[in-house]
Amino acid sequence: MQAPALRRREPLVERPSDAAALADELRRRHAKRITGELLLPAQPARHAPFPPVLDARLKSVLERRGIHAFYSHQRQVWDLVAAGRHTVVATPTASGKTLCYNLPVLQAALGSRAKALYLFPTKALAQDQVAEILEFNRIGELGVRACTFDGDTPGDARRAVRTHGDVVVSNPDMLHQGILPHHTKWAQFFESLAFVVIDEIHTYRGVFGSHVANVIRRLRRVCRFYGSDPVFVLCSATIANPGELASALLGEDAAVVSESGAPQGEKHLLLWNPPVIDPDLGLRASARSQSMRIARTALKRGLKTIVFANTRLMVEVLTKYLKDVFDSDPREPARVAAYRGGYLPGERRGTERSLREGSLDCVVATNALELGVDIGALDVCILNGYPGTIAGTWQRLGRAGRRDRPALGVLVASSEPLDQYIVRNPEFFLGASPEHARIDPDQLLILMDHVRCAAFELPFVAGERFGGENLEEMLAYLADQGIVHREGSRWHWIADSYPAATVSLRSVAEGNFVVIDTTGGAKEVIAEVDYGAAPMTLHEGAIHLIQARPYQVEKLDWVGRKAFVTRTRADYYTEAIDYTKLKILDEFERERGPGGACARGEVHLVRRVAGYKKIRYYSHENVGYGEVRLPDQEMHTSALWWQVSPERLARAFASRWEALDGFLGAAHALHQIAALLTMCERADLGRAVGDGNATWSGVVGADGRGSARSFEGEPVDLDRPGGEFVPTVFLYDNTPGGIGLTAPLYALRHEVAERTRALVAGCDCANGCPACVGPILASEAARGSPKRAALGVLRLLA
Amino acid sequence: MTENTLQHRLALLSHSLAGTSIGQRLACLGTSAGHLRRPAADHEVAARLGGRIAADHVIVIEREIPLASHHGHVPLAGITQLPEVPWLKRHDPRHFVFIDTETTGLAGGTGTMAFLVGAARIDGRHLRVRQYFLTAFAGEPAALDHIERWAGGETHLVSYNGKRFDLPLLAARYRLAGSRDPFAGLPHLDLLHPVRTAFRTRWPDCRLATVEHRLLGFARTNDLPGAAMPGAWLEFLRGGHLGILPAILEHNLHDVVSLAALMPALAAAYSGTGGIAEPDAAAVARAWSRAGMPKRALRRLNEARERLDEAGLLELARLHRRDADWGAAVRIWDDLAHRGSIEAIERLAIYHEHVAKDPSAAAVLAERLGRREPGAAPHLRRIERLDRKLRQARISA
Repeated sequence: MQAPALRRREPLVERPSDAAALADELRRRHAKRITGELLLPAQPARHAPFPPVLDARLKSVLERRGIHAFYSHQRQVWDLVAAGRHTVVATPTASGKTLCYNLPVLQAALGSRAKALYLFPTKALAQDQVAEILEFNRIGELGVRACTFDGDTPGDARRAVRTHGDVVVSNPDMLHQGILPHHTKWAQFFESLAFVVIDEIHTYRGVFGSHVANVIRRLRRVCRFYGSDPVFVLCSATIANPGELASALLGEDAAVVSESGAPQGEKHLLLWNPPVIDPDLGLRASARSQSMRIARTALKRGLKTIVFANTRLMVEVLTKYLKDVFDSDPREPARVAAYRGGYLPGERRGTERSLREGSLDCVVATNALELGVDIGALDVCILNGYPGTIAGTWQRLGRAGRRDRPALGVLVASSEPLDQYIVRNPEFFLGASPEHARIDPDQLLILMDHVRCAAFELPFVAGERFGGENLEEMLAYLADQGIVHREGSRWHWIADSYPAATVSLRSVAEGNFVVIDTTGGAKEVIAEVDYGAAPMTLHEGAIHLIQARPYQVEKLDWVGRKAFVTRTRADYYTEAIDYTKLKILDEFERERGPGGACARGEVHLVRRVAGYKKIRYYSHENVGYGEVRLPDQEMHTSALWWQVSPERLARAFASRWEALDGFLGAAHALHQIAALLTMCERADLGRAVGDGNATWSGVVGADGRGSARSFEGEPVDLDRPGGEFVPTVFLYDNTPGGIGLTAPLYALRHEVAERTRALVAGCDCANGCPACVGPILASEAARGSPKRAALGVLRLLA
Repeated sequence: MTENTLQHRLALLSHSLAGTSIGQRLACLGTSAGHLRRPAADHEVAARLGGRIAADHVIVIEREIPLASHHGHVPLAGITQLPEVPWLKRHDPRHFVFIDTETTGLAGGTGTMAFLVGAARIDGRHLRVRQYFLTAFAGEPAALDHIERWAGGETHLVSYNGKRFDLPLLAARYRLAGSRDPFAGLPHLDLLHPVRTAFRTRWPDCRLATVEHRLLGFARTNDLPGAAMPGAWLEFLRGGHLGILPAILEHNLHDVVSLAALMPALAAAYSGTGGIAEPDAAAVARAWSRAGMPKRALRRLNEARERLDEAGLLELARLHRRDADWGAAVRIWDDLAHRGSIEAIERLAIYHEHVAKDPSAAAVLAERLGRREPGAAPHLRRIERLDRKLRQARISA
């Protein structure tokens, strides 16, 4: 152990030590809370010599920075790129990924004035990158011009960037809307474009990734027009399938470099479940209290610590509690800071700098710090709640870890089912590969958007390909719509419009709602709500919570995407009552098991918010209803569903109501596990219980009990004579048209059902709790145990 | 995949999305174009428009307009003997190319094409207008070639909003056709800018139609509005009637001839040699000054002296001060200060402090400024400085 370093505030650092010692102490004192652990041993550095052709100026810059050899992976990338191979680099945080692409790019810029385009998902990362190259430039007097080109670039600077930029750093949205539709202005740039670097490709998944893949198709099409064929260098954080994602984005194979040659101190990882405080209700101590305790211990030992929380609100709460302990003296510089989206860029840059320089001891952050913003290395990383994906967990944990010292990560579970599943099945988490990042660039609506954009950029020529669908048919469709005009073997853009302006990469359904506070006659925008969540949270009469402050929605302007709210002191909150009607249109595949069947196909889905309940705080009693009139949400998408044969159902359950409880509870848990096993944010998948013919849908009441409703909201009597009863659990792709989640889900159907059954069976609660089948407030006597019923259903499905 | 399934899926998607934003977007894409008829053959179009076929799908229509004629009430002959103006330095009228395009849209970017380009040159005693009309997209490369030969070379471009719209658009088209842009780097006079300078404060807008009406006295009859152009050409392309084409050509012809007429009319407005519209004299004078011709600025202001507003008078005083004609400047400032102009009071304060060396007169004016704009730092500094000077003067006295 090193001698205690001299600290600025001696008294607060009680026992300086390293992260390994902290891990030991936590193991010793809280053995029962630690459900799993992992030790990654230290890795020595593996070097490779500089390539002989490395430009002397670059070599001298590296040497002046104390670098006398490449790490093995950097050399591997160099050689692949030199051979003209598209390459994806998937090595851990802080392994020197940036040099992997900067060096070949600078070498080519110095040698043949070749140009490079860098794409980052955010403007902040783009600016970091330019700063890095400029620093290189300054030290080595290279004369390479690197500039950002984004929405903030002033008009008069744009021409200079276009004509003189050697390295242009931008983002996919700008490429899509600002560069490709004006490619003739960039002719010189495209003619000499030799490299395209795309960093943080793990963020390009789902709908966003599917759009970006199409933007890359357009980029390559424009490059072909100018006679260039750039080499792509992609970088990814931890995901299971970097090579697969890279080739899906590029439409071509990419070589994968995933073995890091950078040295790494040993890493400890603890999975932490807060102790149970009420076994009946399945209540545990809050994750927050546990995270606080661990963070305090770490800080008192002088360890640089980062705490990740899943919401902006939790970031603020944790920061306040930690500041109350460590920043009580306002005359001293702050030791603890918060970092999240919504702060001004300058403030975020300041925090990043303080972290790099080591003047801050602790930062509490949202996933805004998950990306590769340079904050230097830290000793301890505490995750307050499971981030939702295994990849996201490793990306955050990657923030702790130094080249020469041990690091500790602690995942503190909340009472959410996913969290509980993870900490109770440590072998699953520790053994699982991270999620597969999936995209579906040929999703018809997305593809159609980009066929339009591409037709605007260059006329399509017969025989050309763009995506996996039949291009001529799509063009024929556009010609019918008066968008393109066919003349001989070419399709020309003919509409007086700029298609890229109406296509947003970041989501399929566009149009966020703004929430406007009109209290006291003012008009202040206080929040934004995405389109999907608006019907449930912004209907008239809803109580909308912002930082736990209640606002009441007075008026909703659906077309104008505005909600007008006022401050209120209501002692209740509201819960929208919505009915989801699903009709099976087409069945692609089906498997019949002993108890039931699982199938996949296309469905038509209608969601209606019919009203809302007012629920009093703490007592949770229902104190009123309100009606809501909103347009129905319709969607055509793909889904997976499970059904149980009527005979087996009748044998397994005393009543249809009990079976319905079972299906609703099973759906709650299946949804969580399915999200866990596929990619994917929970909101990417939807769930519903109904009968598949859209005659009724099942809903869970405030008491945790199920009831069946017609689509008009009328109760349906399941016991009515002669009535068929085919309850069905649906999991559907929550994007119009689907983005390809259900095919992999179908392949995993047995695992999903079995793991869900194991989760519910293994839960410590009596009749159901938030961690398995959902919260239960009523007693068991009323209608049997929902948890038992759900287990009954899951046994039939598994 | 068969044709039916893709169409079917697209139909399903757009149908089931009715009411969502994507549904609206799909619905907004436009109405069905119906069955395409065969577009008219080139020779029919050429005959109808009185032009000739220059290449496949390119019709050239040429017209001669005598310089002895009028456009509105502007004699076109004025182009050949322009008076000195601040926005045009050395020039040779024989190099002027008056250019205007009609396009498939206003969106800009690579998806917009010019289907009609009108370009006029002065040729002897005529204005010779050539219009290049496309009967198909396929004619574009040949048309661009012809346009280069007619309008390129030793050329001084004259346009209206051409710096922002027409010329960048043509540059993109040349680039897409794989050719060099023949207009890159040529001298280019975009008349929108001097029109704006002179008339921004006088007119509701500076569209070409407004200019024709207010400055040229030219009224179009049965004009096809510019916004209807893209649709009209598309209609023709899809095999619609030829009947609309002469109106498209005429619209473009008027645009080009108006450009030619605008030069002498605007020059007259700047040099004060007549014209039917009264420009903003102060703005015009500033333009003269910026062009390094303060004498002309002074003359324009003096000519309009009776009608000058505060800005005009201040500009006039500034020019007098520049010539060290303090008497004339002070008379204007005094007059304006009397009417409450803060800037005039400040000018006088500076004059009395630094030129007339009369701190007590300056102090009175400084106090007045301080009352008009309480707390303004420059006024406070001036008051303090003058106080000090007055005290020193008393001590040394």
